[in-house]
Amino acid sequence: MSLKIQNEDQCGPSERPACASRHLSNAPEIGLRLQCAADVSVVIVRWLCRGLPAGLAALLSPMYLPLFRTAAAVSAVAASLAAAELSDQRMEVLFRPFLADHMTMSHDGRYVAYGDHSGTDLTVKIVDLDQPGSPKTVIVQEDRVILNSTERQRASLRFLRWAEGNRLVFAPTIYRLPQIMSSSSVHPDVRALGFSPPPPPYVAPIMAIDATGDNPVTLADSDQFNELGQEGVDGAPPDAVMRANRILGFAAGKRDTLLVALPNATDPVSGRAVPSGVFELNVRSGALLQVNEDSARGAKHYDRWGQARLLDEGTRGRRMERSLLYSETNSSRWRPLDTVSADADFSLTPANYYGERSVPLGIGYDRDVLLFASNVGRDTFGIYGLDLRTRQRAGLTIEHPARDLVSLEASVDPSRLVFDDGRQALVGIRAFGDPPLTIWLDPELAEAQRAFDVQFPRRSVEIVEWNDDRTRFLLRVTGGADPGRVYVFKRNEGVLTELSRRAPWLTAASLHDTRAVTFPGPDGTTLSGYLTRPRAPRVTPTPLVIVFAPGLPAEPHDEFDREVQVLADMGLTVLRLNQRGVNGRGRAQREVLRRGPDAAALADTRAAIDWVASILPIERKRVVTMGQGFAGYLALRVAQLDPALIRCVVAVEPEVEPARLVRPAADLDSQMTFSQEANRLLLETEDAPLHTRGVVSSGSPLYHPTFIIYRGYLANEMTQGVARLRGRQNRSDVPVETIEVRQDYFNAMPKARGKVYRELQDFLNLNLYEYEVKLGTAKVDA
Amino acid sequence: MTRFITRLVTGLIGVWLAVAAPAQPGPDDNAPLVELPPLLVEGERRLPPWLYAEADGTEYLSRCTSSTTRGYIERRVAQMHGIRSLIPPAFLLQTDVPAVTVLYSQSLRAQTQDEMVKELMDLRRRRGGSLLRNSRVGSVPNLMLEDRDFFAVFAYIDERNFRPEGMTVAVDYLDFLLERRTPALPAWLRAGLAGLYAQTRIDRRATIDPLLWVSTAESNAISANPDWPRTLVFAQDFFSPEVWRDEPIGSVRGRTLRAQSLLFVRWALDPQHGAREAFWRFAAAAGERPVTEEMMDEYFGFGFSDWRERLSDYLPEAVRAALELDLSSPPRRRVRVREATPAEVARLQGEWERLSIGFVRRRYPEFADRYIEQARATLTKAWVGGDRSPPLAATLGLCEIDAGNDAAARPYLEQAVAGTVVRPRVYTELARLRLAETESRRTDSAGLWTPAEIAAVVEPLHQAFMQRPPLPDAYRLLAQTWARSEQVPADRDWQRLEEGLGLFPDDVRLAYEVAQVHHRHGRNAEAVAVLGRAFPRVRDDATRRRYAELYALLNPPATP
Repeated sequence: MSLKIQNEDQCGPSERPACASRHLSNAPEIGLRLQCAADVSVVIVRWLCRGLPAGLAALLSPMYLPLFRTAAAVSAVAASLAAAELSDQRMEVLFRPFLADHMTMSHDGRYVAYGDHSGTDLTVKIVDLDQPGSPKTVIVQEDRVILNSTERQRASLRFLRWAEGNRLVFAPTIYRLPQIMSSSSVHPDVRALGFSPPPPPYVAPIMAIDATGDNPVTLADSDQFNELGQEGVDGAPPDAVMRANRILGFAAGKRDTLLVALPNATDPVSGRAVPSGVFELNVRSGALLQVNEDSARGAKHYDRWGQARLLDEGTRGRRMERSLLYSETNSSRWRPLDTVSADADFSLTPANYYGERSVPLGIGYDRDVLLFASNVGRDTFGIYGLDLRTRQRAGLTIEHPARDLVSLEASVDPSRLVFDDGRQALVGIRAFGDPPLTIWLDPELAEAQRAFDVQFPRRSVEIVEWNDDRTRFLLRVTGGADPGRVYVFKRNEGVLTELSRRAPWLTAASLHDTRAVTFPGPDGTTLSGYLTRPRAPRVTPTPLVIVFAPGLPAEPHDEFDREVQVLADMGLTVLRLNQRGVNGRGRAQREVLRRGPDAAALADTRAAIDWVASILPIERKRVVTMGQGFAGYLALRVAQLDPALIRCVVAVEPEVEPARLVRPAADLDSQMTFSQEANRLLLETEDAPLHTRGVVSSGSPLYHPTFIIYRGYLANEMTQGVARLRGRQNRSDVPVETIEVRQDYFNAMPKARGKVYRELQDFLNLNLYEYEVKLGTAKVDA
Repeated sequence: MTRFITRLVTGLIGVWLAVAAPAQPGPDDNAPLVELPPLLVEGERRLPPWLYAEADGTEYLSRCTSSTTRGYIERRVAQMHGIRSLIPPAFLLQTDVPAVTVLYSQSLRAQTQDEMVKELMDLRRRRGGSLLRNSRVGSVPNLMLEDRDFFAVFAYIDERNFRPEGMTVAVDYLDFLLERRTPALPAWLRAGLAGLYAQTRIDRRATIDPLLWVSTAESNAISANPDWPRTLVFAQDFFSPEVWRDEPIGSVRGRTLRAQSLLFVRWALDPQHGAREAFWRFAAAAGERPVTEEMMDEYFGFGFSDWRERLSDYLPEAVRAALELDLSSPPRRRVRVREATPAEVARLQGEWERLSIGFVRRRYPEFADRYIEQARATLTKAWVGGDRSPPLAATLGLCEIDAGNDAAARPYLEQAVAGTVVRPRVYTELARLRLAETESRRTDSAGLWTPAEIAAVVEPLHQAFMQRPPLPDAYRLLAQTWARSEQVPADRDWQRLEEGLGLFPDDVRLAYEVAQVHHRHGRNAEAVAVLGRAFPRVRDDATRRRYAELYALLNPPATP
């Protein structure tokens, strides 16, 4: 018995309209559209003449035809103009890098500083909220030169905070200069003449300026933290041990003193171990004082007094278990963390990566309490406290029923903890993922959050900072179609001032309406995502694109997505679906992947289409699946598993054969990685191993026109998979367009994107909007 | 022969037509301004005849030349057409009662101060107030007086420098049309429309000047730098009547509210947004129910946050460039100006003088009798001369009412009503007199009224309801009447009462009286609903107590 599935609307190559074959030639775009429209006019004339006696119809048809050909041509020009939204200019504004996200409010609430970009310079702007005027602009750093490229890498900030006395401290991200020459490569005779090694490989300045613009100074840079290594042979000068500094924040109770940490290092010449250290840096004088030194190797995490409290020694052994240690207050002794509590499993192995475990986050203002995240005994990660002296829970419990408050990432991540440095207290937790969510422990901030949420419906309001007396709040507002704006709310005056926009060149009116949505999923679950409606649909009901969340584990979609705006420009309704198993939505949703990620995605897709169709006019026969990487695999597989559900597929570098995610490459002598092992334990089951669910290896046909974007020059399993799929589809006469791109596409360069999207538009015109192809239900021949 | 008694100019009440260009300095520019309406009395001087014209719902009585009169009227008609192209008439006062405009040439003014003006000056001096104001005003000097269903304008025309094309309808007048619209427009809409109009020039097209945002400095800053920080209020605050009522105008939020109202209206009218039709539908709905996120979504397709962002994005453009809007072509109809009949002169002049009574009585009661005497004389002269037209009877009746002489008013009002005059106040006043008469005739005030007594009051009210503008007094009288009846109100009466609540949602007294009618006729649930809707608008403790007492009657405590 053979299974043959055919859609009524799937024409063979010979049945395809003439315009389709012309399209595959190199016809100019406008000319092509005119011709396609003219073909449509023939259909209209036939429709007008239906029911007439054959003779009369034959008589009238030539009369109507020129008229309708002209009308159709005019319509096509109009359509071309609409399509011109995908112009280089549109691409440029959509894909222009957003302005920096860093912002901070002074303790007295008078000043706000935020990162910005001006030309090729990273800048910081200082706004005086009490005396409106032009913001003061501080040039921080030039964009970084990329070797052998005309483009520059944008400089950005790693730190921006106000210190005591309205002094602003800021630092750009660390920039590693190329290593041109080391001292050992210099001839001894030259070294003997006192030749110094090349400049330090790190550029990591820490700078400060007064709010008034006075006293600008570079407080410290890498060279101040360099440690000299052992002398070379023949008394040659020693090499410097280069280390990038890490800003820990202000020291507890000292809002004019930064804590700066240096990692362990090894002298490149002698191999001598250089211990890690912590320094206090005065933000006025620039004075440095070392307050801590530790020779233990591994990634260290410090408390607010500069003491190393957590040590991550990395994974080791066949179990690939990660080793975590802690130290008690004012103690230099490291102890294993997994022995500290019976009900909080701090071990991390591939076996529990997707399951139950605990993750240390850091130490707050209570030096004896370890703040950690855990999903042991529950579905989602909550935040808790553990008293390291008594080894008992410290009474802190923050949980959310549907959201993991931290990601699956294994590393210690204190950035989600929100402290009020003025009151020296933990005041809230910023949950992982989108839309942004802060759970406030402080009742006053919780109340403010509630009020802002009411005032900004359909937006996510993040209270970034506030002044000491909490009369002014610095807000980041995102969501909807807007990339994000920064506001200051003045409670006493009851007014809200918009300070800056993340993308001021993108006006609200130029973007398509986007809303965060939740809806019922399979098996009583709740699915989430973002629904974007085109401002000007080309047809109603509109086609629907379902974009799967990328990655394994899948990362939830961002609130704003440029690509979706392009798709909506094409007149498409787009649902960015956070399919089950997406990071941050709990353990139970991940468990469904054990029964097959493709089957789960299919069930989610059906639920999503049903739900969208219940609230919007969409054409259920014109549904596109789309995804990148593993999500590209899901997009292909969903179409493969239910051909009648999907009309065509768009995949960006799809994992055509996802088995490589659970095993080492066969042709290389490579070892199983942590993630491969973790994925294997989650996805591989005896009855349905992943290698039998590949798009090609499964043996199932794929009837759908497919558009694939990939870097063809890469020699890896992805490109091999794409080649195999293309070969098979070509043999089956199923349209498949493979668009080779370069890295600039993935760097979101406007021209590269625009070129691909114009190709995609033509593909969709042909395969989604094709009017002469009758859409019908699938027929299954047993 | 006409003697010109009082010469005065005032800009305090309402200015109809302002001269767009700076006023030409004239010989009388330093003449004093006195806050009294002009009083026209037959005198010794021989003056040109009165002219009469009718156009666009206004009757004109003019003592200017024919060409000046025509120029004035045609310009006004064109300007009003432009305004109605910009603002749908449904958002302006709509009345079936023709307005009256008296045009008077400045060249006919008396050369010496009238004795009454001297008296007034003495009075003001005794009161210690400032008497004189500099008269260098950039407007055609004029005064508007209003009644509950009617208004009239007196304008002095400097015919030597008169240029019709330089005249525009003043903002005060537009604000009057917006303010008197029923149901009342939301404060944000009224402020936005009036404010925007203040920045608009109407000719063949409407040209809206670059927006003045909060202050000149702020506007200049945003114009120069589109990323300049800007303060906008939340949508919930912007659409809240309470915020508009309570926020001081001079506060940051108060100024922002007003600037934002202009920005919103401008954004809506700007063709590039394609939102004009949706805006007017939204504005109409906003006058009837509270604005919500869902409502905004329903009309514009986006919510409060998007709204705010769109306005913010539009702001730099609004402060930088003028906005040109196409207007529909004005009607090309030549106005017919003819010599006025004595009856027309008496009625229109008398109407103006009647309107002056209330104004003078409020400000300078010392002069009220003189105005009453003058109005009565003007109108009676026509009546005695044989004019029995319903409009004249109506004006005479209202004149006596305004003079406090109800008994004398009654026959005139009855005659006007019998002639089906278009004057809702006449019907309402007659109903009031009949109600008072029935009340006084009944010794047993607790007794309920008979159907005949009810009908005598209600019937003229129903005639009033057929005419515009609607008057809250008429609805109150209807409620008061049915509250005295055993007979259950007919459907049309219930509908009218409900209509009154919709037209005057802020009239808490009307709501209270309608609730009483419901209560009287056993419709306690409806009474509770009416009180509940109106209670948030009650501002004084006495009314709150009355509401509470009635509410207690409607919800008696459960007996154990």
